[in-house]
Amino acid sequence: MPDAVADWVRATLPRALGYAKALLRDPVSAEDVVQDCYARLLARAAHYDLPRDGLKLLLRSVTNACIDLRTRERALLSLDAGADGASLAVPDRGATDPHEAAVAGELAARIEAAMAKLPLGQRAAIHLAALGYTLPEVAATVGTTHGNARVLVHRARKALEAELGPFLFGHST
Amino acid sequence: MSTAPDRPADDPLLRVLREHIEKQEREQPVAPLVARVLAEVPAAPKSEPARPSPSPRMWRAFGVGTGALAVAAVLLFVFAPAPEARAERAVRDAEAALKLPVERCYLVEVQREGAGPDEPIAPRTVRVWTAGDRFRVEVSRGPLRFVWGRDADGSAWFVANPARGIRLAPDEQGPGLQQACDLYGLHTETVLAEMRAHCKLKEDPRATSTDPRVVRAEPRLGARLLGFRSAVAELDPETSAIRKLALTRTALAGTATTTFTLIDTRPMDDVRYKLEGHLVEPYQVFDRDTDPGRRRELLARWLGAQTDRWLTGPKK
Repeated sequence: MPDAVADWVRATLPRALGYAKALLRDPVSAEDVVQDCYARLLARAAHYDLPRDGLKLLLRSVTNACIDLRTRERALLSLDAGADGASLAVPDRGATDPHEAAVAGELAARIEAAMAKLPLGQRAAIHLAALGYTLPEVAATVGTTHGNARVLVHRARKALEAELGPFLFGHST
Repeated sequence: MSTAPDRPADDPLLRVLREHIEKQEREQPVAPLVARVLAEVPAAPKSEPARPSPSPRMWRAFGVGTGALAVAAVLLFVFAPAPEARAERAVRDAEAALKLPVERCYLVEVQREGAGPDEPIAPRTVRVWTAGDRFRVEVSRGPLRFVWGRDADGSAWFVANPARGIRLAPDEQGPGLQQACDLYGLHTETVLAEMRAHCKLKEDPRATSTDPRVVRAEPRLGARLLGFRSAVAELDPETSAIRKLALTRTALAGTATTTFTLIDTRPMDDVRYKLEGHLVEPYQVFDRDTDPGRRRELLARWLGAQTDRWLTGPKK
């Protein structure tokens, strides 16, 4: 494998893994999904222009794999079951004071909890939209139409604002 | 689609979400998975496993350390003996005012120049109540409340909800917590005296005798003041109590100024400086003798995974 491919893997894996974790809410399953997706993609790496199209293909593959996994598990497990926002608190390493760390951790937990309440499609769409992807890109990655992608983002945003508004802006909407 | 798409429009909610996602991306360990992915590729040349993105963490940790050191340095050295008699007298008056049996409430504001993406957009209110060596910090953002402080025997305590509290004895407090205590305890009585030894003090001329006295402290040449830029104390013209104290220090990406503004003075309420004063029956207090493992777990949940910054001693 050329070094360029290895470099591409290192550059893109954090985004792919973060996306899979956001969709699945389960880091172990997310790692498995991401590993499988890379394996499939890299097996055909010669057919693709990875620097140009690789991340798009990868995120689309991750989306499909996550939906497949959750569909298979649906009979046994609710999408939101076991979503424990508090345990997913992200330490704010930039904080210097206990209360700053507490606030940052609490906000991270609230965001995680709010995201966990979203249906998987909305979660995927708002995750990508927040990262700056355009609606056509969101639609292509999630596997839906432009119009439906807009609806997914809008609904997700509305739901998140209702959940996080008091913490972010001091008011509920 | 690239790895760095355009940033979303100025939607504050999406911006917060983006910062949250990117922080998670930076902080998640990826090296083992990268190694597994690369190892699975047929005919792949041996590649060194990627390092788990150490740079952002290291820089952030460096920033925290630098900022904390700068704050500690400021607290140790800001008010030093100065040739300017008037300024020194003002500082001595401020020290005397601290001996009064009252508690004072300061509104805390931190302004950072050149802050990175970690700077939150959400408004918050931080108040510090001080009485001698005791203090408590109350922070609120929307419905969120968090209180921590230090009681008369030097124990630090934390309350995130009124049913559970954490207490850390003085010998259990980690470096990050000690530095925070130094800052928020204001340690004014001790600090004012010590600072006179290391700073040049200058009092701004006042138009009238009812104007506040403003004393500026700058490190003397040769003083070892890591990251210290300036300190400004605004004193009440009648009582000489500190009405405002602004400490400017060097931060990772610019400077940070922490300003304490006096907003209330009242007779001391001892209970509010104790952990139990913020708990509601029935409650649990976790300390060295009561389920220390659970205490560490709670501390990690409330303040983040770097509990060593807050708590010394064995992990379990």
